[in-house]
Amino acid sequence: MTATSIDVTHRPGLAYQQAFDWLAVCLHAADGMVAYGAAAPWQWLELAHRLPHTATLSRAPAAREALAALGLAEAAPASGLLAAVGLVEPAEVGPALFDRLSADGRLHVVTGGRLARFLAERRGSAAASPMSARELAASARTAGFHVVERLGIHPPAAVWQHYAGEAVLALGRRDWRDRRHCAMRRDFVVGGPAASWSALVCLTLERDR
Amino acid sequence: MSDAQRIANLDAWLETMRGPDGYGGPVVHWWQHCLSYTGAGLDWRYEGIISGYLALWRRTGQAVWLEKARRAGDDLLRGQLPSGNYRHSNFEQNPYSGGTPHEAAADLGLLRLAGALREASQGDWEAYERAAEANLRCYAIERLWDDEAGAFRDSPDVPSLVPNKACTLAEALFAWAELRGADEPIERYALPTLHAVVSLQVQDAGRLAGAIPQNTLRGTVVEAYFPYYIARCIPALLRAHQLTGEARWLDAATAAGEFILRHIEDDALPQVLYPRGMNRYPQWRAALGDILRALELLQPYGLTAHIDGLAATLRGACLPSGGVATARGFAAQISQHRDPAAQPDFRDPLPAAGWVDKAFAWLAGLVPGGQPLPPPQTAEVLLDCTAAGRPARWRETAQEMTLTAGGRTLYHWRKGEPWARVVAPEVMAR
Repeated sequence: MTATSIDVTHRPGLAYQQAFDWLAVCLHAADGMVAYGAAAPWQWLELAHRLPHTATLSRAPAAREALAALGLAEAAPASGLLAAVGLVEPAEVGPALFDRLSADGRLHVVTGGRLARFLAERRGSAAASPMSARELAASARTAGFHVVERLGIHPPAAVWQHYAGEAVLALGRRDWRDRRHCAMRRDFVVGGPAASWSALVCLTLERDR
Repeated sequence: MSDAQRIANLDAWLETMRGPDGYGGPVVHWWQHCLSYTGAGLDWRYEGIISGYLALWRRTGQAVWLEKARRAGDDLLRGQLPSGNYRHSNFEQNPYSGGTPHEAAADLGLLRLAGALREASQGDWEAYERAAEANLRCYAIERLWDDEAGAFRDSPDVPSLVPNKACTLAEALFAWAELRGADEPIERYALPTLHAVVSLQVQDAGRLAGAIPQNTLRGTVVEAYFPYYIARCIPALLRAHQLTGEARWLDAATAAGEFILRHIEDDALPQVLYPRGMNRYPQWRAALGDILRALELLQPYGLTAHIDGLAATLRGACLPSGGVATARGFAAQISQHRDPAAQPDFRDPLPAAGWVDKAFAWLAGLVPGGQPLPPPQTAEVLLDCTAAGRPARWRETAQEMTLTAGGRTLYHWRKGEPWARVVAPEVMAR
């Protein structure tokens, strides 16, 4: 067995797991060439787990290392117009990126919501500050794109269920605590305006018609 | 329907669940679900699938079943990472590696396959043994073994013990030691781990007598007692008794079996009991295969187990598609109030390869000896159900699984693909 500095058994918190799953489903369902990009090395590993044969937006050493740890070769960077692009916590989204999308191409982005500061992965991180959902939507507007779907991951309702569970556990009722835990999982994804109050926000953007 | 017919249908269903890298499909579970990732899961499903095909090979004498067991073993070999872990081995938490007890269960499948191939004088058996050994050495022993506790952890970084997972690991170590004719895996790792498990078993008389708690975390016992997971402790405890002749292992296994038998109600078992209270739903159906197997193992030692009711529940869960329904009562998971007349939650009939394998392994052992299986007779599943509390319709064919409600598609998976194509927010719960 080959030694590697990457721990392939590492998992981020549930919010990021859910968000990366969402991104993978979006890219998988797209009809045509797709590509993705990420900010931090651990995010590249997450995407390599999920999309091992999908092109990246550009060559990234972190992507190559993540794929090697999984025993996979790096896919060639994407070229030509793309049916969908997935991004994780971009620090900026410039016009060049929007130009890479086909006429009906979609941009799917995982970014932080108002509760993002409570995510363990965001604490003490040396990563560049990612754009907020609001900043991203504003940037997209100037490029002629608009948000067509907005999902919140780990919204306040789920946080409430978690703390309600801790409270009943303190009363000695682990059975009730486990029910609240299941309710937390049920309430883990929310759509509409409440999404922005979540830890992570998943946005899908399309070109204005 | 005969068990041979059920097994023929199950085999046909398993074929529909294969993708390029192995057996895939969505997962529903007590802890969390994995509906989005639907690619191969190199997890505990491989224990049941390989064991089931090996049982069919032995019962029928047909080489095709040994080849199917080998093909499953090849999935694991292809999916082994440079670290020794298996790709996507976390079942309900996929797609991640390092799943417990999943990698140990996959090892167990590989070791049983290696033993069968050696028995059949097929020279390549060692490749499967080597893969299991690499995982056991590089992950279980190097990363999960806690020298101070004298047991395997559930996570490399956190002092923890999950008895059912540790027992699966002990089973794999027994199988490895047997294949290699070595005592070290038994003496140094398996028996100390089982000692740690038994030390947690409830000794007091009462409703929890014989139960084994779900886990310890940083030295604190988490007092949740899952009959299903307790059943998964029994085979390793019995094996320890067979190898050492010591009565304490048999006593522990028997007490665990008696705990399970005491809590059978309406031909089913509650999901989890606590010192105060119980969460009855969802009640497993396909997974009853593991419980039936464990109880049957105890019968030669004098445990009087009336298991016909549980067996009928499992058989009654077999679907027209050939798969087996996962559970009953998912809709009541939070309220714990179930209306028997209500439509099932869509998660109830959803067959997951990593639950169906339990039914497959158990039923395969019941097939009449020396006879080939009948041709499969399968059909699509179409039933009214609920999703997020609202009326919905579940459909499974050999090509896809689909959940619709109010003219909307809430879930759609094309079999063989690594991701679902539609996962609506209503069913996106992980």
